Formats: sequence, structure tokens, C-alpha cells
Amino acid sequence: MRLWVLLCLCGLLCAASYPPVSLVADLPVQHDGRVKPLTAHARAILLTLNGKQTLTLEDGTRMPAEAWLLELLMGGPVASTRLCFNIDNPDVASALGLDWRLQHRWSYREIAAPLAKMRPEIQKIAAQEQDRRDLVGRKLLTLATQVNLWLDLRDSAAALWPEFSVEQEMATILGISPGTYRFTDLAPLAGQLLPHLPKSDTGEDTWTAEQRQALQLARGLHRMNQAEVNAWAVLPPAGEADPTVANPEWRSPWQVLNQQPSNADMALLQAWAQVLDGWRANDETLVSTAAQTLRSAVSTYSDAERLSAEVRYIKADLYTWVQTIAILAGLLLAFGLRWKRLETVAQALLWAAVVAQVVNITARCWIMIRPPVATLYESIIFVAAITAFSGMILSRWRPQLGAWVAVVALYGLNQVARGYADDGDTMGMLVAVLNTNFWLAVHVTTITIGYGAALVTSLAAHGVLLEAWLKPDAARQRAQDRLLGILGVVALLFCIVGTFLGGIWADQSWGRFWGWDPKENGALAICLWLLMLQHARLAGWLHPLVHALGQVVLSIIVVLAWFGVNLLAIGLHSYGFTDSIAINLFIFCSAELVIGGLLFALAWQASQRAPLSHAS
Amino acid sequence: MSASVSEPRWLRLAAHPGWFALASGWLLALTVVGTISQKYIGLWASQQLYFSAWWVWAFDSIPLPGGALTLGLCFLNLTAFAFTRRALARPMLAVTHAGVAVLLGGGFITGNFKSEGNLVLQEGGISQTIVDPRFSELAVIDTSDPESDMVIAFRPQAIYAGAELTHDKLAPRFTVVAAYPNSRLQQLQGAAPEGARGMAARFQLEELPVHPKDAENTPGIVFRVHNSHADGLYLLQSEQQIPQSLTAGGFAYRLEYRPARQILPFAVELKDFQETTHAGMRMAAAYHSQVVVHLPDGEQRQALIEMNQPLRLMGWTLYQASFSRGSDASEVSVLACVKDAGAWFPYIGTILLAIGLLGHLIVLAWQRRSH
Repeated sequence: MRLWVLLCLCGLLCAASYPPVSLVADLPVQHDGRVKPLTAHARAILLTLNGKQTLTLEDGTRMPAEAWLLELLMGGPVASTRLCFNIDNPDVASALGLDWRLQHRWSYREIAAPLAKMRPEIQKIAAQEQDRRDLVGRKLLTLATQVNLWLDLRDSAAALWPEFSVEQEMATILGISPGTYRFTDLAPLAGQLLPHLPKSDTGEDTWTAEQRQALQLARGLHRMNQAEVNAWAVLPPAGEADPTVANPEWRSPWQVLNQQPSNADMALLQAWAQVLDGWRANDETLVSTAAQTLRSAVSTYSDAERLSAEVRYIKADLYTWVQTIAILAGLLLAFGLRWKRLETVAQALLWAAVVAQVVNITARCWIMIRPPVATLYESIIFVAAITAFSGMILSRWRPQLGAWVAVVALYGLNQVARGYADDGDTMGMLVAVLNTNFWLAVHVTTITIGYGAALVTSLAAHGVLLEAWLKPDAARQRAQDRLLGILGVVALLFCIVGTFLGGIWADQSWGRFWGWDPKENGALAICLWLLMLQHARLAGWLHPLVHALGQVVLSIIVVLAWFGVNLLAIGLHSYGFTDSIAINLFIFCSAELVIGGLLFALAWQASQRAPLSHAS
Repeated sequence: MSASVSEPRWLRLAAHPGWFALASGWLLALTVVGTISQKYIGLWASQQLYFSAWWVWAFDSIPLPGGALTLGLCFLNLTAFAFTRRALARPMLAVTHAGVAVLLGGGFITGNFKSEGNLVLQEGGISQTIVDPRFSELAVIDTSDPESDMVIAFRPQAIYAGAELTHDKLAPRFTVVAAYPNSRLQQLQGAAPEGARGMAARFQLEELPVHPKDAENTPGIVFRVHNSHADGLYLLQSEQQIPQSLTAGGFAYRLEYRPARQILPFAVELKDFQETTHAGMRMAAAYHSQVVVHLPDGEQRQALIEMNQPLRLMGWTLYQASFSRGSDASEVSVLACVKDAGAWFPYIGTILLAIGLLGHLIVLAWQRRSH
């Protein structure tokens, strides 16, 4: 049965009418401040418009982002029929006069006219202040921006389309053979058209065939050049590479064509034109050779190794593997309570998953040439690695508990990370104050490790309460209490040092060690909670089970400090806000309180029933 | 967990960890409330209300410990701990607590003795005056001499309802009726109050709630003038266009209510400001100011001030804070200037803290091993 499915899939793939994406995946383009492979560019754009990294066609098959982008760039009618615009709000759809459909995606052809009609309204919305706009207004504005992005991208490549048909008469004059030509071919010859243009005071019926053709060509060239959009920066900077400029600006075809293109530039444009021609004609060889030409032409300006590494990173999608292994390991662990052998297998699998996660993070560091944690997204995958790693270390003393910590971290946090990867390219640029590798490496890494250590403590506390309910035992309770104490102190070390390193960074950057900023307060809250528990324990006020409950609640504080403060949207750390985050946070915090309270109540009852001495 | 009997009881009580548990719990509650309030009243107001305050008023009537008091109690608790047996028995723990004490002490010094303000420079401009927009000063400018002006400015701390503002070199005296952090001018409704002069004769000043964004606040002041040729009630708004002036004893004065100023011991000249954006984007990657500092002894020094790289000079530290672009494409660089005697405390405190905690963990692990 599986074989049939495989064969059908192969058949579908073979039936695809474009060359393999791997031929062009690593071709460089500069977008959002950095040079990235075509794969990353295509996926980022498609994700912005479509909400997904692949395009679902009308027949249900999936088209990769790279193929979609090249189809858009090559011109022609098909691109405007692709259902790539995501309108997930029914009110917006009805505002545009569109019938609702289940997969809520429309093509350019379907929405262009309605959107154009609403232009004055959309301009009014754009002029309003951000907080004043209502939901539908905001989404309409976003859609209009997305459509402009689509148009700009398409028109940026217009110079490479075979749009102009040259007939016999003009062909002879221009010294070329009759056929279809591109703007890039004809632009250098445009001067030769001038003498053959009809005089403006003569009537149309007096023109010769040559004059008519000359005028048609001239008009066409002029009209196309009005599309001076520069959304596709595939040409490296002109001249020699300047080592002092860290990230020089690349150029878009129209920029180059309007400013005396060099031979190298024209050759590059020619190569891209061939890639698009080959793509259009489904000619693998043409695409392959043209791509090779491109690679050697841009070799001095782009790091081919990093580009192909990024392609591999994207294609491998290790995160999904890590999550799958985590689920599998979880199942094995559950059965491992009965059969010890399975537990060992689960642990081996989890170690492999931790390694995979670390490999991913290291790959990102190498590709981006910066420390591991610079954005919220990166903090999530990093904490996943730290928590899982710590869990596996813990599993040396607590086989089940430690392993479960790793399972929850690897699955749960990677899942949360997906939510933050949805705004396009996860390898974005940083604002000026973050553009310092030293402090990113020191402060951000330390505090993120702190978050991880705190989560380990909290997850361990869940396990402790669970065990206290199912198998109450006085000696075990004391040992578990000591364990949580140690984990708490480790978490405290990283959290406090991380928090105050942040203060030192702030002092170095703008002369203020501590400003009671929301993010600073969030980190402080974690430290205060840990400190409070620790000292209450020292004072002899905390029953071991109450201590465990306190550590369970720690996860809520960590999550609120990590994500919640961004919802306040104030201070220097405001970023990453969406409505869904608030809802998810609320659900998580409520669930944790309920679970924690329940586990505590059950464990308390169990401890009352069994003869236990109060541990003090 | 008891210390030996030779330790005085009050010391043990003062050093009891339970105090700290309560204090940190309370501080956590303050932090939560204070942070949420920032969305509505802004960072600065929330700091004043919750974190720097000694007392916090619940329901406007019940006094509860504010951030400053809570941290002060923590400081006492920590200091007491340093003298206990337990601290001697566990030196690494003592180091940790010493680190925290240093941090808190530094915080106190910084909070009370720090000077800061913004130096706003246009490209090609030179200035020695820093401005602190959070506070307002009442400036009395003696304009009698055509060659120069003498400015006597009453510090923000001296301005509050009922305050008497006098100076030896000034004939007139001022009594503050009201000082508002945010205000609005309104047409006078009804008869003018007794002795109203200048703008106070036609307008009244209404207090507004503090706006979360500092720049949106317009401070205002209402005051009485005595011992001049134009005694009466006056009002002023911060940096208003219409000057209020009066004469007294042969001198002419102009009155201004403006953001508090300080004079730096040196002048800073902005030679060039540059912003580097990420390639093909509008996001700023980095920005810096090329300046020349004119020192009091006549020496001139070149310096580059950029994000994460400040200039330290004569006790002051200058940071690249932000910039703005004028409509005529002129660039204005804003340098944050800070003079803080307590600046080094956090560094020492953090190092002590880190060493102490790490050491404590190592000692614990060592002890476990030798069991």
C-alpha cells in the first residue's frame, strides 16, 4: 500500500512542469538587509503573502516556494492565477466583494480590481494613527501592501521577459534576426530606432512599416522602463569589493539598466534571463548551465559555502525531526516504566535530538555570523536546547524525570518557536543597539540559559509532585526537596547574573544600569520568586510539597517575563506582539495553575494518608 | 538551622531569612503592579510612584512600603546577615550577599546623586548645556544689561506647591501656588483671580493626567510674585512662546519655565553625524557622532561616540542616545550625558554575586562528594 502511494507521488513529481528546485536553490539575492539564497527569499515572500511556505494549487498538489517565485519572475499569465494571497478574515473578503472559500486564498487576478476600487479608503486608513485603525482596516492595508510587494517583485524582472517581437524590417535595421527579444537585448540598440521614428506632424496613414514598428518598439521600451521598481536585488555592487563596507547594497535590474550597466552586469542579467527562459521551457540543462554561470559571476560578493549551508539548513528542517523524536521518546518512556530497555532507547533518542537541536543552532550562528541568541525566535530554540540538555544531564540521577523534561522542552518549545517563525525570515537584521556581538553573547546567552534552568526546575517540580501523589515516601520527599533546592540555586545563578549583566550592558549603552523597564522587571520577577522560595525554605516555612508547588508556578513567571512583557508594548524591549500570543499565554498560565494546584492537592492528600514526618 | 547561642538574639532576628522572603515577595508584587501601570502612566511616572517611592498608597489612604523602603529593609537584613555565624561558616554565601548589598548601596547613591540630561546638537553646532526634560526649572533672566543676561534658575526640587523661591541677587520673591507635570491652557472662565497678571489675567492652567509618553507632557506652574513693580499671580507653561516679564528695583526680568538645565565643564561640537542602515532597508544598523570636545584649558579633543561606545570625560559619560532629521535634511544628534558617582557599584556587586553563587555551588557539590 505504501509503495503505491510512493509511486503516485513520484508520478506527480514527474508530471511537474518545471525543473528541479535544487538547481537554483542557492542563487544569491539580497533581501531585508542580507544576502540570502533563493530558497530563503522565496519562502520568506510566500510566507508573507500566503501564510505558508508552500503553495497549494487548485488540484491539491503543493508547489514549492522557489518554483512559485520563479514563475512570478518569469512573467506570463500563470502567476496571476496562483492562489497565493491569504485573506483569513471573512469581513475583509466581503469588503472586497469576494465569495468566501474554505482555504481562504485568492489570486492576484481575483483581487486586483476590487482592491483598486478601494484605493481611496485604504489611503485613508494608512493616514490614520496605528492604534486607531480597526481590525478590517489593518488587514486591508496589509493586503494592499502585500499586493504591491507581489507587483514590485514581478515588475523588477520585467527587463528579462521576451516581450518584444521584432519583425523583418526592423530586424535588418537593427542588425539582428527577427524574433522575440528582451528589454536587455534591445535597450543598447534603442539609439538606432531614433532616426526611424515617424515625425510627429505626419499622419498615421503616411507611416511606413518601418516607422510603425520603430514607434511600437520605442513605446514598448519606454513603457516598460516606467516600471522602475527595485524589489529584486540580484546584482552585486558595482566595481571592486570594498572590505570596509560590512554589508554593501546590491542592485535590482532596473537600477542597473538606468545607470550605464557594465559588461559584467549585462552578463549577469543575461544569465538570469536564461534561468528564467529555462524555467519557462522546463529545460533543465539551460537552467543548470545558466545557474552555474551566475554562481561564478557573483562569487566574490557572496559566500557560496554559507549560501548552500543555509539551503541545507532550510531543507533539512531538523526541528520537525527533533519534535518527532521527542514524541517517540515520550511514548517509549511511558512504556519504559515497565520495560527498562525501552527507557534506555528513549534516552539515546533524546540525546540524538539534543545534538540535532544544537547542530541547528550552531548552523544558524555560522550562517549569520553572530551569537546564538539575538531575536525572540532564537531565544526559544536556544532555551529548548538548554532545557533538554539539562534534562538529559539530570536523567543521570533521575532517569525518568530528566528524560521527560527533555521531551517536553524539545516538543513544546519548538512548537512555540513555530509561532514566532511565521513573520517571514527568521534570520532577520537587528536594530542598532543590538548590533553588538559581545553583549549579545554574554548577557542574552546567560539570561536565556537562566530561563532554561528555571524551566528545568519547574518541569522537575511537576514530576516531583506527580511522584509524591503516586508513591508518597518520606525519605524520597526529602531527597526530591534537596534536588529542587539545588536546581533552584542553579537557575538563580544564571538568572541573577544574566539580569545584572543586562544592567551593565544598559549602563554601557545609555548610562542607566537599571530603569525598571518591563523586560528588566520580568527578569527581576523570576529572580525574586526564586529568592523568595529559597529564603522561605531557609526560614523553615515551606513544606516540601509547598516548595514544589512554588517551583511549578515558576514556569508561569518565566513565560510571562519572556513573552508577556512584550504584550505591554512599551519600553526598549517591545517586539513580537500579536493577538494570538496573548490568548495562548492566558491559556498556558491558567492550565499551569490548574495542573499545579491539582497535583499539589493530590500529593498533599497522599502524604496525609501515608505516615510521613514533616521535613523541615 | 540555628546559629550558636553566643550570637545576640536581635542579630539573629535581624538577619532572619524570613524577612527577605517577605520583602522579595512584596517587591515582586510591586514590580507586577508597577510594570502594568507603565502602559498607562509611562515609565517615568511609574518609577516615581512605585519603585523610587518610600511609600505606596493603596486606595489613596493606606500606606504600604514602596520600592525604596523595601530595598532599604533588604539592605539592613543583608548587612545583619554579614555578622552572623552562618555567614562566617559559609564565606561564599557571605560574598554573594555582600555583592547584593553593594548593588543596593550603589542603587541608593545613583538614585539620589545622579546627574543626567540630553545634549542636543545640530551638525556643525556646539553646546555646553544639557537638558533634562523630565524636570522643569523656573528661570529668572535679568535682561537689564544689553550686553549679557544673568540667569537665576530655581531647581526642580525647590518647586512645589507652597514653596518660597528667593535669591540674594533677586529683588522679587516668588511663591509657588501649584506646579503640574502636565497641564493645559484654557480660556479663563469667570472673573480673573485676585492679582492676576500677564497670561493669568486671560487664561487658567488646568492640570492634566501624566501622559505615558514623556514628550507629550507640558509642565506648568502658577506662582505669585512679591516685591516687584508688577506683583500678583502669574502662570507659565514649559517652553511657551509668550514670555512673561516684570521689572523690580530698576531691573528687568524675563520669566521662563523650561526643562532643567545643567552646564557641562566642557563644550561639545558636532562635526558629523552618520547613520548606517542595513543594506536596502530603512532600519538603522548603527549611528555615530563625530565630535570635538573643547576642554576648559583650551585643549581640543576629537572623539567618536556611537551606540555601545560612549565617551568618558571629567566624570561625565556621553552616550549616543538617538537622533532626528529635520525637514531640511539637517541631522540632529542627541547625546545622553550622565554623571554618576555610583556607576561602578553595579559592576563590583555583580562580580561579587557571581563569584559568591558559583563558589557556593562548588562548595555544596564538594561537600556532597565527601559524604
